[in-house]
Amino acid sequence: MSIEIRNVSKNFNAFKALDAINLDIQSGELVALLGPSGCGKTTLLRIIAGLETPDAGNIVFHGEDVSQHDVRDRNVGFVFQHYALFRHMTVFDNVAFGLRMKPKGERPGEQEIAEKVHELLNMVQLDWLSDRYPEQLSGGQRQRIALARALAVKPKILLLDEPFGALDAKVRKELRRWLARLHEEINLTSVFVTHDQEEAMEVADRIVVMNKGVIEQIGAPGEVYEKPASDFVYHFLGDSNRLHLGDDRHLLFRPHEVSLSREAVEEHRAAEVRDIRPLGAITRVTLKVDGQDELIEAEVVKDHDSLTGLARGEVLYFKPKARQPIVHG
Amino acid sequence: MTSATLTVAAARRGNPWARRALILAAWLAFALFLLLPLFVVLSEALKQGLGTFVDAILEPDALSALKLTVLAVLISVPLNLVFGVAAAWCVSKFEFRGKSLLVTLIDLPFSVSPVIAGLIYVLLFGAQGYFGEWLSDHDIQIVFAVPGIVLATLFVTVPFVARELIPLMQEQGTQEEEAARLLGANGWQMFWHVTLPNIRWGLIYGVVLCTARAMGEFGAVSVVSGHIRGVTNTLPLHVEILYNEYNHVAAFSVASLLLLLALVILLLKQWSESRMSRLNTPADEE
Repeated sequence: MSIEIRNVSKNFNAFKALDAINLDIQSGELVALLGPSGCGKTTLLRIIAGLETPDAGNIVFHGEDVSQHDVRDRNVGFVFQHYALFRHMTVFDNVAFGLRMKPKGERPGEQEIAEKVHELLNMVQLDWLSDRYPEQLSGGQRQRIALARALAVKPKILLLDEPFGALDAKVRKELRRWLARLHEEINLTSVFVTHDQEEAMEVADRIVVMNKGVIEQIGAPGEVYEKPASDFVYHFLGDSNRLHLGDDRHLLFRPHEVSLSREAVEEHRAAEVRDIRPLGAITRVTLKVDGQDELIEAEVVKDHDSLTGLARGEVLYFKPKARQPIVHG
Repeated sequence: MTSATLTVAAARRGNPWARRALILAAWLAFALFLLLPLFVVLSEALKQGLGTFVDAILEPDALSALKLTVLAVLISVPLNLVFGVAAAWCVSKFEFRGKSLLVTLIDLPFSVSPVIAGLIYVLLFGAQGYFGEWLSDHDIQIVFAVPGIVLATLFVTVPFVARELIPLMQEQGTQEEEAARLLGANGWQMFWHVTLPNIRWGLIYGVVLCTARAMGEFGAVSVVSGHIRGVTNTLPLHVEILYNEYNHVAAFSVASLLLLLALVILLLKQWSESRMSRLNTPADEE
């Protein structure tokens, strides 16, 4: 089911949370809303779900304007950042909730509900936890139960608010891949909110970069990374260095987009080595250039020639090698 | 959880004599101020044997006082239950103008002396009061009658349920309710299946406190009652009358009845409190 967001605006008192947002999401897509906290991404997600009413604009599901539809009539699955599992219900009852709330005519029998719930719990590989209460589960388990609960009512659209935000790094990685696979298997239109660019790049088909209530750029992960539409997108999608060129001009480049040498080479600038950090496959060298206080960070493979026997305080020559250097006047 | 464990551990490591002395002091205070009076009430009541005790309780005026007290409880507690849940719901789940004013108003009966609360009703509904003439024209008696007693009881018990629920519901937030709506629950289903189970122990605790106060209320009820024996006397008022008449055995017998009800309430309170703390133990965060 496709989602169209047309001219949606939302204010909280004097604060402009969303300013005339337009966004088309194709059926079956997995889209990330990416941005810093307070950029409006969660508000937009809640407006799509119907939990928040926009001050202006429309939400259209598959050609039908649902702006006036109540939350319960939109049939979207929603996974909250902190899962919002019903604390007094077992895992089984949590997952069965949506089915049991259906009006009398559509409500399946308890037998059928049980089958359906176990099927969902098997899908998230947690059937063995069905008698437990949410507080007895780990974060990753709660997350998957929340997902199973949302999917029980067969939504056409799945919305996830910071789905991996509250988990530790390892569980996070596993769940990310698992979610991407699941999305493929059950063919939903999914939108998730995140402030983590790595997460967005790894999971999403398309990334919507938001800042201060507006969309900065929409594009595939490679596209927003390689061709950032603004300074904001450039900075937000990865570490960056700023090299002053004089006359109020400067050059932006990523730490890995740099050439290092021990000898003075053409076009390379001299810099003092302030720190050397081996980070596994790569090593990060912090450099101090004359004429600016801002330090430059360079990342090269760990067995790079320039690193052999390198010590702090020595001089190193570097040159940014950004393919498309962004120069600002 | 960690800070509590640390405190306990620190106490265990501390001077055992200091700990024992403190516990002993606590027990002594408890015995002196709580157990001893309890014992005195019961021993005074039974001084002339069980027969006199039972007679004092089964005496018609005492029974009528018991009935009136139970009536006041049965009317004021359910009304406060409904009002308390509604007010707590409004305050904790919505933002609106005048919210802090509402919270302050809910607390008003705590800060106003019960005697003054009673006087307010006399001033409003008494023969010389604002509505006195209109009420007597329509042959409605509020002050010095049962409605006045119920009103006064209601006034002093208003904060109990709401006060108990507001912080609880604020802490729980609205996400579970939102999740229920998203899963297709209507307003009533959401309240019945999600909100109510989440607040039930707090609600029971509030109701228990409210009941205890409604039973024991003296000041406000005393002002509006008029002390008509067998008609407008509640149990606490009846105890006072008997005591003033130097009928100590009867006074203490009726008092021990009140005490018995209080003990039941106390046990209920303890039970709901333990259920509440068990449910609200924060789950380990990951």
